[in-house]
Amino acid sequence: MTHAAWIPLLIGLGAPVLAWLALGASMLANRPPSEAATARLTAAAFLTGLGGTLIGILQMLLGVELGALSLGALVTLPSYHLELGLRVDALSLGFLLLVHLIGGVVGAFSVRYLHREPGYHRFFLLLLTLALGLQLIAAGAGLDLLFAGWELVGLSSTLLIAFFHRRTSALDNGLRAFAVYRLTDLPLLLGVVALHDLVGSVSFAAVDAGPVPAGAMADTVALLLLAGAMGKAASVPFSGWLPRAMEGPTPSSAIFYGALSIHAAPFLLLRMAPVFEASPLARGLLFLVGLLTAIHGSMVGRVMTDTKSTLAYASLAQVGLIFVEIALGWHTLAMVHGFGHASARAVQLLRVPSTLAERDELLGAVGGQLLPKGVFLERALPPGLRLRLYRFAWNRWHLDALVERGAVAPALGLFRAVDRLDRAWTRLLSGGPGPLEPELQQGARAEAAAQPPGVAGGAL
Amino acid sequence: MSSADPALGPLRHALHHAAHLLPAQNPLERFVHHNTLHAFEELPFEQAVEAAARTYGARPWMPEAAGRRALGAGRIRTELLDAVVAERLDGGPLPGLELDRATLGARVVAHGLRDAEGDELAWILNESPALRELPADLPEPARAALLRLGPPARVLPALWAACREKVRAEPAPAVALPLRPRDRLVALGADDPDALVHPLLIGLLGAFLDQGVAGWPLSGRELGLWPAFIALVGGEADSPLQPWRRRLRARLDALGGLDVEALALGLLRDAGLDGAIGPAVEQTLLALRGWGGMFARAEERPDLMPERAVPARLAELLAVRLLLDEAAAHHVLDGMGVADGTLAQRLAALPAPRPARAPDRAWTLFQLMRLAGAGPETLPTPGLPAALLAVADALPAARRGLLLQLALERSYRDHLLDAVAGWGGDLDPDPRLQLIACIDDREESLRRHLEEQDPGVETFGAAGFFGVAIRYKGLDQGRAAPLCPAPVTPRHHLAERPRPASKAALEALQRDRKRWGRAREVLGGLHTHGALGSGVLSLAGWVSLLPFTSQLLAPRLHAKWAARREGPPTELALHRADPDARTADGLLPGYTEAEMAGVVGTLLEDIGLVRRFAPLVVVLGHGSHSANNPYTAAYNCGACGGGQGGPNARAFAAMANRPGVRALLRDRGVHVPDGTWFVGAYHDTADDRVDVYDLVDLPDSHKAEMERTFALLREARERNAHERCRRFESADLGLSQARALHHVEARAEDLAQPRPELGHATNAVCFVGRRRWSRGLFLDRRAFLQSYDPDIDPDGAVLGRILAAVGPVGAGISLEYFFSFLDPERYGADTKLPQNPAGYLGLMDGAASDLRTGLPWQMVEIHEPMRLLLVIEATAEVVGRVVGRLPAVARLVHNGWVQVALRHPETGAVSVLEGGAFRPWAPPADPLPVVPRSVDWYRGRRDHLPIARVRAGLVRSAS
Repeated sequence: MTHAAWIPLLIGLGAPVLAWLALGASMLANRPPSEAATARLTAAAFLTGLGGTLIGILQMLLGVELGALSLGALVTLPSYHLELGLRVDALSLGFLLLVHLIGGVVGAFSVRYLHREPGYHRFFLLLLTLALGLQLIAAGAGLDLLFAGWELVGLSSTLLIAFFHRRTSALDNGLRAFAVYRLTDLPLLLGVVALHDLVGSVSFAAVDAGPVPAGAMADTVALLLLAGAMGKAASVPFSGWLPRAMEGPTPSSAIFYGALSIHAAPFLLLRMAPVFEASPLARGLLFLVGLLTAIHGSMVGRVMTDTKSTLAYASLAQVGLIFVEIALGWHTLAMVHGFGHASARAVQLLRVPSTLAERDELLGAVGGQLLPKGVFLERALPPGLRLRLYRFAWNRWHLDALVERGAVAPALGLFRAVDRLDRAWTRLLSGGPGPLEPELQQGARAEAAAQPPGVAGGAL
Repeated sequence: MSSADPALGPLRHALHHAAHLLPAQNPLERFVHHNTLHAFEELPFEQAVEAAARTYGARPWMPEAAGRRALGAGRIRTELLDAVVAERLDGGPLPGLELDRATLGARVVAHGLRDAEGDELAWILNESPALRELPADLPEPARAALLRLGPPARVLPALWAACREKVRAEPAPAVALPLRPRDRLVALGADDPDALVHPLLIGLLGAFLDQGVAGWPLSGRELGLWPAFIALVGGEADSPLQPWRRRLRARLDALGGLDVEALALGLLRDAGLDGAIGPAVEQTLLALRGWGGMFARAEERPDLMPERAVPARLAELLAVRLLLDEAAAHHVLDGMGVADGTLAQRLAALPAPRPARAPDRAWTLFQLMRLAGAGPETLPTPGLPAALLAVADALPAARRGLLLQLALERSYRDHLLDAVAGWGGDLDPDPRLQLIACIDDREESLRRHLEEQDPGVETFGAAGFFGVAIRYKGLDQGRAAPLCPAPVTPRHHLAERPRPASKAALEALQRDRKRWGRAREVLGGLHTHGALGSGVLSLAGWVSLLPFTSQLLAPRLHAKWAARREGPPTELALHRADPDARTADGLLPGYTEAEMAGVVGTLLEDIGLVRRFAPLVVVLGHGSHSANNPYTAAYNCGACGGGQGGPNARAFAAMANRPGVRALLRDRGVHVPDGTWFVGAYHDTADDRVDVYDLVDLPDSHKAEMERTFALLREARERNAHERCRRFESADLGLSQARALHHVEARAEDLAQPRPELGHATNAVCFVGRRRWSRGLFLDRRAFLQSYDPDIDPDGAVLGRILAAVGPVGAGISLEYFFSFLDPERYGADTKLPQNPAGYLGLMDGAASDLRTGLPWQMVEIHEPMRLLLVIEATAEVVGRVVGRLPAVARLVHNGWVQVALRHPETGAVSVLEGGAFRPWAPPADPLPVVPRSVDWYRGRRDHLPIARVRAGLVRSAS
């Protein structure tokens, strides 16, 4: 293995970083480039990334092992050092190929789709942020870098959901996704620490090197990682945020929730497969979560009446199935399934505006009568049960309310308590009213209410 | 409460009234432009717009910023703005100042006043240069006057101090208590009950109205919304997770057995709203007005539903909504710790909302002094502060928007009337080609480019269904659909069929298509709704990237490849031999020759084509196509009810060519010579394609002329594409004609293109009259052109027919663009980018919003909001008589929803309707610029262009 073999891939991975820096710096300096310049920059970034990845794949096919590459240590402590290192194998290269392929297609689409949109450059900056995050996830040498990438993906996802920030509903739903990310990223972070405890390092090389010792610690790590994956994959019970996330421009919905962000979860599981090998408990739970999510997604998706929600549920159902495949140890199948599903679903989401035209075209082809709906399992059920099942599906299994009552409300309660404490403390110290009196907050709210009422998606 | 409740009458009345106020937008595939404020047409325009703004919470007039941009760009002429202000503002002197109220008012409108108070004002004073420098856009006289007083850094603080001294803080105006409980709560800063109600109600209405998106439709919806609601929400076991719904359950148990109207009344009473049933019902239903409007549409016009009619009753929606509102309000009140009781009791226990803060008067006075160019020494003049503030009070922001709006409208109107007055050329006595196109503003340029090529080309405009009001079923269409103006119910059914020789080939093709279609349907269904099926399909999912990427990167080539196979020739089943024949659903299949002669004769008389026939007459229908665009129907032919008007043109030409029809026409006095042949054609306004129908029927004698016509059409569509491209920012201004055509062809096929074409954007005027006085005018694709010959219509019968059709349709298009531009959030559909089709009916923003009505911003962003200016070639007497007979038109004219001007048929003198009377228009002093060809005028320019005269293609230079 020579470092020279890394050069094509390094260029490929570096291009989006440079593009991100260039675009970000010019926006920060309040000198945004022209639309065309941003478009060229994005295209160059993804094309270079794609080229580098393809060469990497070619090298792998020709037997050139890339393995790991250290770019230097960022933090060094006696028991831990955070190293900026890369490590690629077939799994990473496959994922990188997907990232640059779909990223390029969505980028090309967005150049014209977002023409004259005031947030044009912001959109592409966030698209590149997503690419950076995914590169870290795919090619980072350890779970700590993966976590950093994970956070970038979550951040860009949240900001794109709230892209149209004049709308209350966009902000509400962005916040909801953010809350779920927070809730499930915490276990992932704990998982990083616990992994270090388990195998003495957080690098994937160490994880892959030897059999992970089974036992309570392996169970803990695997369960923490699973919890982290469930948030990104919108698995049961966290599925509610995914359809609500369709607030941003259509291409962002396609790349995040049809393709890349949602498939980062199975990637994490595949990457950490040795840990799951060591934990039958976690694999069992993974199987169960995957199965439930697949059932939930297809059941709820069937009663949805708008295109994007339908596709959101179809998407999360497939990721559920991929979870099942991983739990059963069918890793190659899971990879092929994930790659294919991400491509097909992204295309389907990008074509959402064609919904009516496609129906019209289909009606013309088949002679005016489509096949009847609702003839699947539903017909076989007795009417009373059918209604109850429909209602259950229509209420989305009450999962939103469950998450809200079970996680969001206690968290909010905690924050409010801390806030009260903080306020009391400030008052005590300053001997006067605190900086954020409820009266002022009320004023701000009343102002918000004077705006035309948006259709808010439920108070968090 | 019994069914004889005396309040039922008012409730029903209120429902009827509210239904009227809900948006009347059709399901998307049947999109028809209509006046957004149709419900207010009974009122004079300005009053109506302001009333509607209150009802819908919308902005009444154009945003000041847009107005000021138009002023800066010269689209609003300063002297006309001054004139408009002088008309609307009482004049008179201002004590101690040289300038009068009107002059100051004009400055206020042109430069605006910034309302500020509290922290915002503190920021302006402390952080911005307001007290150090004069604003860059201060009018020159004011700037000079202030500079004479000394350096601004000294004068301005002194002026501010003087203003502060003169004006004492006034008490804030009292706030009216909102009516809806939700609004009461939100005004107090409480959680928004609608945030609970809307997701549920949108889900319910989506499931109830769905036209085939769901794989598992809601069963039992054929019973109505109320039973569906009971089954889905009311009947569910208590969910500990959704506490607010528990109240619903209890409430339903208590009210059980009542019919929905009585129930709604009970709910209104308990909320304390029975004293104001009308406004309460109105506000309740308007809170989700896109969905409410679609629901009302399903009730009024079940035939418009794409897949199935559902029994929608607005009273049921009201009852459901009131019930949800009540439960959600109670839930919020519970959280606020308000003692239990009826909703009215609990609301009464709430504190009054805090009054809104008024803008600082001293700051307003300061700005007025600055605009007047007056310093602190002038301020003590007795009565001056009050007089200045009175000017500001007479010109609040909305009023300033109105005045800018009126000045913009008048700037264009005056320019146009200048151009029309006295203009008029002669026509070729022996035309070689005549073309009848739709009156559509997008055909103006195509007609101009045809005429510019050859003086022997003559064009006419008629409503693009050409009098052929049909329900049409093309061979590639799944279902028959009407092709006629929206208010007309077609009586004739017309089908396309293979020609006898190609029957077998076509049937094979259709079998093929059906097999592939079914395969696509099944696989698509699996991919979307089947977990396992989709899983299997996904294994090869990457394949779908290939066609998508090819269409994305090379849209034009992709489309050419996809359309490489041409179908075998077809024809229309036009002639009905048996006059009594009926289709299964009672329509007339095709036309008898007598009916055909009626259609053809009427249209030819309408447009004044009754003599001087050319050897070839092309009848050109139009429509549009685009990829990945839910608004396709909005770009189609409005006169065809949002359909593509090709079949109408094809049918018209086929009718006019029948010897039997020609004979009947002769009896009617319309002599079409034997040497004249009609050809039907279709123009696609997105990619500028022109298809010609039934060429196999063309007699040999006309083949050569047809070849020449093809050459003319080819050149015209290239030029048309070229002219259109100047308005597309993504098309280079230096494109050649051929590249321009490529550009528009690619645009129509581009999956990522939210602006396949610009539709009716910038439409401004409608001409009704002979082409001789509009030919040779560069009208920049802003004019509807209806042909009409006053010479053959002495009593105005033809004019009546024309105005009855063109008036409301033209006004509808113009006003929909107008209001969607004015307030894109409340009247328009805002940006297309996050839109999500719901139930094959409409579009939401994201996963659960109200249905968006009106036009998206991408369609209207370059529009100039102005009321349609109708220029009619007729005398005032004839027009007065005709309009008096047409209530719909009279309402538009008398209430000022359209502007009207006349051109005298003989003298060419122009007069304009102002204040109920026609005022003669003074001929212009300076004639228009003259250019050889259109391209010489528009080349290299992106923005709105003034009118110019184009020399090419005129028989002889104009009078």
